[in-house]
Amino acid sequence: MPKREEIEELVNRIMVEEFEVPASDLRAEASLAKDLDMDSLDGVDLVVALEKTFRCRIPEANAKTIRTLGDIYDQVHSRLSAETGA
Amino acid sequence: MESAPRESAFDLAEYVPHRPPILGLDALLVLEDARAVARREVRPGPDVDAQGALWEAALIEGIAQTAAAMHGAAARRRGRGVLRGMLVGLSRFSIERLPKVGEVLEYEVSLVRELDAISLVHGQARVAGEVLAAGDFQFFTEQAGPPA
Repeated sequence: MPKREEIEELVNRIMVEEFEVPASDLRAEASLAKDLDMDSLDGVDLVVALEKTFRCRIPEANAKTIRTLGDIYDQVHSRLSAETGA
Repeated sequence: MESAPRESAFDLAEYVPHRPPILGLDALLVLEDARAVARREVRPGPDVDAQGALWEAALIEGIAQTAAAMHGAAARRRGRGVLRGMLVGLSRFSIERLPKVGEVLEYEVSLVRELDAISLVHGQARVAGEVLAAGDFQFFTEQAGPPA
């Protein structure tokens, strides 16, 4: 399982490369909607990108709780921990 | 030479709300919860240009209508009743060439992911196995009628 820092780096890369978010805007407390200008259409693309990158499944109930970039880090870390039993 | 068009396995009117001239499908061949295949022969008409090529918008609409059938069939199987939906996004989409009058198009869609009311569907348009266009479609869907 990747370390927390590696997870954050990969998530940030997705945000920059797939969603064209400026790297300077990436901070854990950044709101996806208000600070990073992402909408519900981006939401499904984001989940797909995360699942593909980290080879994990993010349940819809969990995905719907994501509001900030930090929430994404936490969700991915949590899912990977759950799936590897770490 | 293209093979003879396959007969529709499903009643189009039951799964797709569109009617001519907007209806861009001739037949539904496969309808699964996460996949659908439809067919359309390109004939002279309002969505064909002077050179006999189908409009880009009509190609996109055909894929979207195939996805509508897939969503509708899946909803019916789950007892959800009639769905109302619309195409709200298109990404990573490219057209290699436009089909011409006389060619038989096959549209194939597969559900990639659903999140709340938004679904991401991968769609493709082919002629005799040649991929003419492909990309990702995003749909908004909501229940329009009472559960089945």
